[in-house]
Amino acid sequence: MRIKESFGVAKSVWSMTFKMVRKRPCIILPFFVTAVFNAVALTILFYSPRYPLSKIFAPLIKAFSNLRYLHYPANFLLLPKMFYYMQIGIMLTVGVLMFGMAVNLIFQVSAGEKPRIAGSLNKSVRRYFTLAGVWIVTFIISFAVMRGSMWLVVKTFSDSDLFPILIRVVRYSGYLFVLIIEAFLVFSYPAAIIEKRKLFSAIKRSLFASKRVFLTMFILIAAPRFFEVLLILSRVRLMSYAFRNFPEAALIVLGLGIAVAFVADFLVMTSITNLFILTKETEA
Amino acid sequence: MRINDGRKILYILFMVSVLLITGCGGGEYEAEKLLWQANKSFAKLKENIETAAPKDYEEVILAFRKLVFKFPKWKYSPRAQLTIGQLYALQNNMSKAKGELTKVLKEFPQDANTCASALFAIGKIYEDENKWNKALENYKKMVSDYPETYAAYQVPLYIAQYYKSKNMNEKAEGAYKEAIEGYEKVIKEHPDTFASLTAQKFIIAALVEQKKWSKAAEYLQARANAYAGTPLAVESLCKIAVIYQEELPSVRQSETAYKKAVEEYGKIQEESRKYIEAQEELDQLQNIEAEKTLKGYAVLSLKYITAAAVSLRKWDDAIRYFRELADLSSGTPLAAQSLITSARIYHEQLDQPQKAIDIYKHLLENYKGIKVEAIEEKIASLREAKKE
Repeated sequence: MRIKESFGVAKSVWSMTFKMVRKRPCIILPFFVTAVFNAVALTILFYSPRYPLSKIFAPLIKAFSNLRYLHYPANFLLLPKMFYYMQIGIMLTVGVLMFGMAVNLIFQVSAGEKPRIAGSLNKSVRRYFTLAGVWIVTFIISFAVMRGSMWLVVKTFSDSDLFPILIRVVRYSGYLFVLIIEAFLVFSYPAAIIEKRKLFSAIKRSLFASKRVFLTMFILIAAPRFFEVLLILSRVRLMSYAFRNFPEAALIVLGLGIAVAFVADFLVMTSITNLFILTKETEA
Repeated sequence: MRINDGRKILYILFMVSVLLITGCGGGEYEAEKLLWQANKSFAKLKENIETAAPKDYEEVILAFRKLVFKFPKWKYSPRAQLTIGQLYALQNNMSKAKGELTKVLKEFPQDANTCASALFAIGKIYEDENKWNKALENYKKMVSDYPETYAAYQVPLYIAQYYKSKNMNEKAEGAYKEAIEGYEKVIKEHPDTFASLTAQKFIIAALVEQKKWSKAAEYLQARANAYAGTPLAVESLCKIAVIYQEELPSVRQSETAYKKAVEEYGKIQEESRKYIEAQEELDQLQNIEAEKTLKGYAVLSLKYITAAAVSLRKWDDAIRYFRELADLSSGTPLAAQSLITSARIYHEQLDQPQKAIDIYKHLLENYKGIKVEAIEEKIASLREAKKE
């Protein structure tokens, strides 16, 4: 599909998505739930150095890191890392269920039916292992691409004068590859829910279906995720720059990340699901 | 489950969360935050101490006083009270300073280190008022009441240095002898501890002040061996190199020690480089801290090596290491100073005024906060010298 056509299709999909959300705002609910869980996790971690939460977190921090991170302001240095691991846990449990629920809600709305929240959640729970499997596969491939390429550069070029430039190139292009991987695998969620496929069948379906509309999918993913990636790239500098005068900046930046991720996930999943439904109709 | 039961459960969960979160306040965390803010304002005051007004001091004093008032039983409150005393001393309000420092002894007798520091500060005030007997009384009280503190370890050497500065040579000699005997006893009784390391440092200082160079070199060599791979080893070897060059003329031993110092610095530099760039993004914040520590070691080691290179008149080495120091501490006053020193070496020792001019120009372009007129004058005078 040519670039102009892909942009045109992406524009139509977004238009359809926004009309759908205006008509049935309950579609936002699953992403809101995930954002709330992330916010609660961040709040708990923020209060973790203080009694009584420190009773739980102090032994963990002592075992895996250093007790200095229980004290102000060093706790803000460890906060991003701890939150990252919490987010993985949330995504693997609540997050994928909410993705599944969102897909089913969109499917019901596009079929002209009344969206049923409890029913969609129920369907998502029954497809949980497939949904979690898709997320794990995406995560592992993305992780391998980013870490593997870094490792290769460090092993091969650490003595070279080009090393600092290469590291930066690999880091930034790694995010691009992660978006490409998402573009290939994201159809697995609607395939698992709408077509009730199992894990490998859903992934296979996603790979084949996404080939035909790859550029459109990439636009639908990259555009919302652009700000998310920008924030990820700049947050370390923001936090370390602000740390000397305002350590709480780490909390604000992470909170902003939750808001940005909420919007990005909502836009990506809803538009991708609509594209999947459209693709399915054209195949039929 | 009925809707009302569900709502009740949600309500209870919400209240428990609110209670839990709002209950997670106060305590040590709040105290740490207050201390950090107070220390930050103190650091800001110290940067502009020459132009600081009384209200600036009051602001900082208030910050520390708030901490001591709110958290009197907290482990760092004695230090905060000590800082209040020091702030009054900085303003030359000595009577108030003594009052605040005495509060440390009365209200925090359990904190030996801080009490010893308070006694030392009071002694210093008396010394500045030319009341040596009262000062000595305080210093001796430090040693008798708080013998295991760092401040108390300093006292014997400090007393000897006082007598030396007043040209009371016999008393100085006796005090140095007593000091060294005391420190050697500490090393014997507490081997491989921080106390023994401190005692070693003071023995070396005492020997150097008495110009007992061979003995000083012996102690320095022992320290370099014990702390290989650390800035301590670099410092010790650099000092040995300078001693052999200037005091115990032995060029060969001086060269050997200097080479070993450079090797030790090389190990530290290598460790420091490993933290740059190739770490996962999430660890970057923590690694920025670790990198700062390792960079700090490299900077410290370079300071010793540059000083040694200058003393040993190894000008090419000195320039090379000053440049490395400037790169490592780029953008800071230390970097500017390093560049200025290397410019001076080019001009005064190596007779290469153009290279000196290039460095001064680089300083003008890249460093704010330097004395621009002074640098421009230097460039002008170097250009004149070149013409001649």
